[in-house]
Amino acid sequence: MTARILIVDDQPDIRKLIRLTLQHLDDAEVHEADNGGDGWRLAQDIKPDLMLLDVMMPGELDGYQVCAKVKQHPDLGPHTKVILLTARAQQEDLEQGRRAGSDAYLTKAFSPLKLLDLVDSMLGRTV
Amino acid sequence: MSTANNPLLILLDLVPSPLILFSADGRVAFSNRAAQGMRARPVLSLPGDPNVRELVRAIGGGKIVTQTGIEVQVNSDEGIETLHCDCAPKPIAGLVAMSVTEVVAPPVSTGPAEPDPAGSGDGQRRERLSLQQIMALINADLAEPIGAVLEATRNLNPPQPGAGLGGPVLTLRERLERLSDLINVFGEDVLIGEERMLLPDMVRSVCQTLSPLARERSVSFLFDGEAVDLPPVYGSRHLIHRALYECLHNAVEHAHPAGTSGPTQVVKIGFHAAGAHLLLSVRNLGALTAPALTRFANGLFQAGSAPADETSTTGGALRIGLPLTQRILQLHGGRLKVQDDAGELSVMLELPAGAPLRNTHHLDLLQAQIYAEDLSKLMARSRRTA
Repeated sequence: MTARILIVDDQPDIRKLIRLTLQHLDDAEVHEADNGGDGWRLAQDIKPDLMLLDVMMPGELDGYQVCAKVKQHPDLGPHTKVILLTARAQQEDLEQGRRAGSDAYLTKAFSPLKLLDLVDSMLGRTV
Repeated sequence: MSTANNPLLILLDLVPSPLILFSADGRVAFSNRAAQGMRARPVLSLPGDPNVRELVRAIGGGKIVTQTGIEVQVNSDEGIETLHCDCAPKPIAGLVAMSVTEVVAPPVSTGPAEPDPAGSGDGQRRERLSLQQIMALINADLAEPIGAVLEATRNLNPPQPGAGLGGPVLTLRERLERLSDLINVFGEDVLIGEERMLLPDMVRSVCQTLSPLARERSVSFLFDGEAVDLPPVYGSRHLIHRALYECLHNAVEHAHPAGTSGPTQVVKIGFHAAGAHLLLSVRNLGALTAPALTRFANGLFQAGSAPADETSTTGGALRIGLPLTQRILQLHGGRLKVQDDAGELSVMLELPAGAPLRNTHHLDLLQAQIYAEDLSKLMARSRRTA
């Protein structure tokens, strides 16, 4: 079954890198947004199975806020897994991510192998 | 930099106008004969002037500078002289070119002082130091002892019972903290950081801190718009707290006319997300009239302007608080506005919403390196699953 994945990151290079990495998945449909507000709106539209969500983004919503909204949404909450992407991995940041309801945390700069393993695991697939 | 075998420098040496070339770090790389022959010795004095340093670094760093001409006072054998320094707006071969001219002071009248009909105070203004110069002087002289006093008095909070000096020392400490922040934010190496803050939480925390003063002054806070999903702001938690504290402290202090009390005044604090910005409005400052505060703010924030009306009855907190708040907001990419809406005064604090745009060059390189390292494993994995 095709997995629907949404990447939300303000850095185009990171989005491209993630998209390239996700090409190695067997069956995935990848969508992108470059800010939190658009990411949230797109998430409600496409109802992704997984979101890869940058934490620090300029604009109306940052990653924590989008994550919290997704997790509180009656349809998306139980269905959509969220991996937070961030360059910061202090205990306080991890705690903030947990409070927002994230399922996993990936620190930038990340290994594509680790990303794939995490995505597979979130989607309930075996490597 | 030697002129030998450098035709451009030989040419510049022959130019009759004084010219100085600065490297981007503010050092003099070259000065022509005319500059070296000036009695004000600009080659020695200008590199040490904070305004010159700031201007040279800005241009040398590739920033767009609208005001490339400044006046600088320097010591010479003849006393204090004013030099007009004009920079080329862009670096030339990596150097910042500055032409220097002496400003001839108007003849000094020996008769009784003439009133200044326009009220411009230009004569006085020339004798006054700019805000940046004052900050540099305070920084050089006071930053270290202030830091030492703050460290030494850290344990005085809360004041020890029976320690008669506790109250005054804490008051002095509070003032010194404000002064310390003021020096820091006008310094050259301000670190803003990337701490994540939710403004309503911070405002509530500041209001909590101010609640004893608010009770004493019969002032209450009314919040508006905080329930809406507001974006976070990123920067220095300490400095944003300082800016909010100064603004709200001001509002409480001036809710009633000086020395009076009356019915409870309400300070209304509104939050509003507007596109890429977050607005915080503080209304009803009571005794201060909008035009007076606006005039005060405008006076302070214009380069080279005279200090605000010294006959003002406003307290020291206002004098320091406004430029401090303004500077902190500027450092975070925001601004402070004072508005008069049909007699009702609003102080608006505007901050960029969300994380600042970042220079992630280093991160990108690191990410590319990691990706390259794992690429072969990734390909092998793809072949396996194919």
